[in-house]
Amino acid sequence: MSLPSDRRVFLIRTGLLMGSVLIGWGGFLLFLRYGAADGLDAMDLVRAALILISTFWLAWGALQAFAGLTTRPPAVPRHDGPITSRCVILVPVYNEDPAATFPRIAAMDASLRRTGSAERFHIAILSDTRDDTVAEAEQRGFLRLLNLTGAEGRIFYRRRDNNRGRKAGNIEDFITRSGAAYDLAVILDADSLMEGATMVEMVRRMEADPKLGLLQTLPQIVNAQSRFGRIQQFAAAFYSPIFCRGLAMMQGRTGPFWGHNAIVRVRAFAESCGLPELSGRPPFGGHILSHDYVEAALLARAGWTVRVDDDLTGSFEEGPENMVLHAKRDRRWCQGNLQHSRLLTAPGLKPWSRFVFVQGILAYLSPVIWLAFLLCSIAAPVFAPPIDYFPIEGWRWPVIPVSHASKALALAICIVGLLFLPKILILIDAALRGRARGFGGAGAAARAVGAELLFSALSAPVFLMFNTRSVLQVVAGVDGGWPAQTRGDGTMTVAESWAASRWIVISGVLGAALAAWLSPALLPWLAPVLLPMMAAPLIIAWSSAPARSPLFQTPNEAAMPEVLMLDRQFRAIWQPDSKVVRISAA
Amino acid sequence: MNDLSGIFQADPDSLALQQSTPPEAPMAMPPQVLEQRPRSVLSFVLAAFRPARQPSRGV
Repeated sequence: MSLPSDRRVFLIRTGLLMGSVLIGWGGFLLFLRYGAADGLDAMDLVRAALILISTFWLAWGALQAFAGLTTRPPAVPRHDGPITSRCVILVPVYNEDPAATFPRIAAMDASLRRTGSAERFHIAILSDTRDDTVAEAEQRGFLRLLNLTGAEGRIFYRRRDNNRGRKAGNIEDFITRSGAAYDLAVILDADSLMEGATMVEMVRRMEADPKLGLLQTLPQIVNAQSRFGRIQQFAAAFYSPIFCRGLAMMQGRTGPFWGHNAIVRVRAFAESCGLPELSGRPPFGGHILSHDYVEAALLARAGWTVRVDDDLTGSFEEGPENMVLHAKRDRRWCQGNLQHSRLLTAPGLKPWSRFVFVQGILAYLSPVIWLAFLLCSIAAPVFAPPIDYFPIEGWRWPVIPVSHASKALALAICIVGLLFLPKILILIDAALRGRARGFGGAGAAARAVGAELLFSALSAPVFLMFNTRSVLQVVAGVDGGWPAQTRGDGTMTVAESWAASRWIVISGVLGAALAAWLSPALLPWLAPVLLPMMAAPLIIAWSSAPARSPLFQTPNEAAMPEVLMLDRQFRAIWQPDSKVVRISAA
Repeated sequence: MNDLSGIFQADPDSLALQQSTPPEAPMAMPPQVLEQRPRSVLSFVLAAFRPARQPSRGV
């Protein structure tokens, strides 16, 4: 099977979009019938409209999973000969701990040497670090890296004088100074790890398809230690490949770029992806924060193909170890995605690229829409017209309105189904096809999926509040800046969790009080949202603790990939005073 | 007095760092147009008269 044709891609996109709109419309009608039981009022229409958008968005995600479950990766152009391109691996760092970043680079270099193609690759560490102490540690670390790898002349280090353009500006600075020396560039993050064989395979695919401007891999989360981190790691390993498969079926020539663990054609990137500063002030103006989506759109605009190949393995990253770090990262992404609203009318973009921007915006607006729906539901009795027990003129007996609560229940079941069904289908698929073996077998995978669903249900209201705050901050014009990524242990005490989430607890208590006052009948319906909000500090603290259970095993733990083992070995010998040992590349 | 600075480096680490910069091979990366230039009401009004203001092909 070859790459999907443009016509097929168009049909898949249209089918999934129509299906999502239909499901959203079904939710809209069901809610209208529920609301019409005691007479339709303005609040019913507002709530039905909110349900329409939210259900569409949920259905869109669910149908993407169905598309992923029912298709197989297409064959892509590649060759088996020696690679001829000049390649560079770009590792942008920004106040990162060199003792964590540099062993990864050493591991990737060793993994590349084992492929026999290391001489085709240079590695450039592009420092944007502002902290002089960290910068000194980077320089010492770089010398130590050269000492460990013996890769003088192949591994470079440079520190910028300023941070213009942040990460995108850092890459641009490299290309404008050194880009002509290379044909292809593998773009990484400071926490990225890639197998040498994977990078060589990516180069082969780029060489076999001269129109391919960017090739993205699906990075797997690794090295998670906390309960939260391991749940995320499991979810990324178990569900994401299926969702990514669905995405790949829809991408056509306008696939995604997630900013790292991808390879670009340097000339295409240089010609198409110079990012201007947007007019106006941050958060909507200034530097483009989520540059990756924009770069993918610009490459597609210039006629280059952008693709995610979901069959590529050996691509890894690390994730946040607790919910607060996750929410902080989401704050940045939220601002970046909402800023894309400025680019919806950018000249010449492909319609799908514009739709990708809309998706990103909806991803962050969707929780706000849910919250608005809940608040409208609490306030609905205030707007409801008084019940007319004598609607028939001349009829002397009162008419009791028929309850349509069953329709609300049906709608709730449908919504929960849209959330849970894709994951359950992925579990069944994994059990039937044997993919569950890497997760400890079908039984262990089922237990992990059950626990993940339970944790998702508990953590969703907390994330809903963090997300809503982020959106409100951005809309209010508060710039989140460019905070360095915090990585590492991530354990939080209940006191620290309380400090980070007390406003969520207070919001939950106020919400419960408001519901008890205005709509007491709603309280049981609101309990799954309000109770986790009130328990937010406990959920955050519990999930940040180190995981001790073997639950949430992933294939990368069952059989550790080579580059992860190399990373561990280099980390072990990285201590400054330990004896330098070169790890065999043989 | 003989100049031995080329033989005995004062700070070999500093030299190694200096030599570690990526190769000089510039490539242009022009900024892309992402925003439509705002058009004033006047420009819409004048648009109807624009052909009259343009020189003829023969000029």
